[in-house]
Amino acid sequence: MRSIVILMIFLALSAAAPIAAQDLAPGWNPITPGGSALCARGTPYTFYARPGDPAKLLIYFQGGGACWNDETCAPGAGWFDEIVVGGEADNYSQGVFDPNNGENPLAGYSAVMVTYCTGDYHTGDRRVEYATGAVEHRGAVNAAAAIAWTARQFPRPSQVVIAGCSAGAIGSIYHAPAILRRYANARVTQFGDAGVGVIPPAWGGFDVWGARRNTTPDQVVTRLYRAAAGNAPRARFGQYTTAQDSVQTTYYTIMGAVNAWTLEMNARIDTLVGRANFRAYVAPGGEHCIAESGRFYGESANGVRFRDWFAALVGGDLPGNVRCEGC
Amino acid sequence: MKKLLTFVMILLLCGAIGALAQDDLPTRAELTDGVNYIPVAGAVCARGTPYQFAVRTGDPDKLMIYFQGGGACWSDRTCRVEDSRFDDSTDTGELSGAAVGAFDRDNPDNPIADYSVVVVMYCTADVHVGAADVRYGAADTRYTINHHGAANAIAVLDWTFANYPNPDHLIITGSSAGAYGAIYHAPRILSQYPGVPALVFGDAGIGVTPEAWQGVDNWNGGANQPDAMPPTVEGAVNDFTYSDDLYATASASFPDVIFAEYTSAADSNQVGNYFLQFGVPGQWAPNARAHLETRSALANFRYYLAWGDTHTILPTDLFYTMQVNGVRFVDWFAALVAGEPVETVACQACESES
Repeated sequence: MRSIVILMIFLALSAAAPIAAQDLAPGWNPITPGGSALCARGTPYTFYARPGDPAKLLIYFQGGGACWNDETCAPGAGWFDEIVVGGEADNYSQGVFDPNNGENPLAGYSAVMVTYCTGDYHTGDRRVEYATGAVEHRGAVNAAAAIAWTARQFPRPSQVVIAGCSAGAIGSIYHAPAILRRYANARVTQFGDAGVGVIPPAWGGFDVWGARRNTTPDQVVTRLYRAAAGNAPRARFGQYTTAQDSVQTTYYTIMGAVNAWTLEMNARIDTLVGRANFRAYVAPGGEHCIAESGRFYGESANGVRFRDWFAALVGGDLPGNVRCEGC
Repeated sequence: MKKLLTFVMILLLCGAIGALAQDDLPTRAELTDGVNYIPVAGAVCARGTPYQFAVRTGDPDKLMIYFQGGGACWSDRTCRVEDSRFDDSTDTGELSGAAVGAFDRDNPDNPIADYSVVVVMYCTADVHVGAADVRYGAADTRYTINHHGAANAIAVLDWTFANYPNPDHLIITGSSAGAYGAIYHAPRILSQYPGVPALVFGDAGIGVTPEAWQGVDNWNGGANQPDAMPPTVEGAVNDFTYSDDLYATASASFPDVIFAEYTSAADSNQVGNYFLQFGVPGQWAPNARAHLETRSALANFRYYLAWGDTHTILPTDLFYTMQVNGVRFVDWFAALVAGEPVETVACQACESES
């Protein structure tokens, strides 16, 4: 009897941890965790890993919109990316993913691409039956599977960068505490790219998605930063946005915008810039993410090149806050 | 997406989009000198408003058929009025107001100043290929977009064939969304003018789309695509390679015609649409180059890759000022029009003029 119980416990543990560390081929390797890791329309979830220096690890949360009601979640409505396609990670070769640029501060890093196909800022754990069709908001499950696998595959990096673009920026700070716990001895930098989290107070997306952490929409991202940065004083945290980001403003509008987005964005940044381990970079213009873009190397604000600011955030003396004026 | 297709099919079976009558249209002889706007009875724009095309009179032996640009839409996010990702009327165009670029009749450097110009105006959000009434939105916000671009274009082309029966110079071109209209309808036009020296020129519409994007299917582009296109799979086109397929098909069918394209290396408008299709913006430029290289395997295909991130060249002053590797665009274009041998021109360091 006892051996059966032990066997059952063993099987249960196996089921909870179905994917083991593995030999990775050069380039991006697809990893499909199975189980309840799903994309929005019920297709299997796949994330990607790229081997590199085992001491240096990038965990990158992909962006791709969001949906939270019949209208935005309707199939083909275009508000969020519903699937992961084969070779999806191969679509990244600019910015911090540029293998040929000698100035790339993350050159040689091992990398995990936490893909995104659930419309829930990587936070959901619920199937929702909308009038326009069901959506598996399983972003938190998917990310947790990717993080668990990553911890086994890359057990002892000395340098970890957690980053994400747009919806992935929010995912990257939402999941930062779990990653920080696993890499307590590493030098960790979190970087939120073009996802400041300006969300109307009455917007109900996180509840719709079944997000488990305290996700009252008003100031949610700011609170996530406060908590994570407070609990991990040795880690570094940063945010980038343009002052008129065309994508963030569009989503803010359909969420039921209250005030001017730029005003709200600056208020969010204001509450964080005083922290010892947080830095912001606010650039002029309306462009969206920068870390996966060729703009990573070319853009400057207030005479500070973004690439240099980012490199300092990740590896050198902490940079200053960069905020464009009258932008 | 399959559901959407089925829905589109049902609408088609209902005969929602038929051929448009030509009877009420004026003849060329009835046009006034200069710019004429010609309404087409029964033809509609995306949101149901009337459709018209434009003709600028000129040398009747020299004909340019220009497919107008004006964005596109394939989802609620891109079709809804509030975000206006496309031009939903034919009120204005390249021929209204001050004529610039290739439309400027007074610039002595303009190699096509004396051409007759038929502008296939554009208001259907479907890059001139659509044949579907598609419902977007949900519940009380549901609305219909009339993706009637193919029928509208074919009506304009039928008028053109009747009224410009014997040109001895032919340019089929278009900017942005119109670049796709030009290559999509080129075989239809070239078949009408066999033996006429012709140039097909796509301006700033390379057709870089992410693999999951299915807009051409959404618009039912397969319904009016060139006869010589490869057979489709279950009635669906391959969106990812659709522009490559259109160029390959047309250039094989018309080996004496020159096919050419222009784009800037980091065209901000094309990048923006790629993003809305959930492509990674930084990947647009390398993918655009890859598509152009694929097409360069065709013997009669050339391209001009300009520095910077500007969008379109024919309807802008860049037509005269753009220069890459010491080759002025206007001279390169003039040589194409004249049927002289022309090589591909591609910027090296593409961030600024070099």
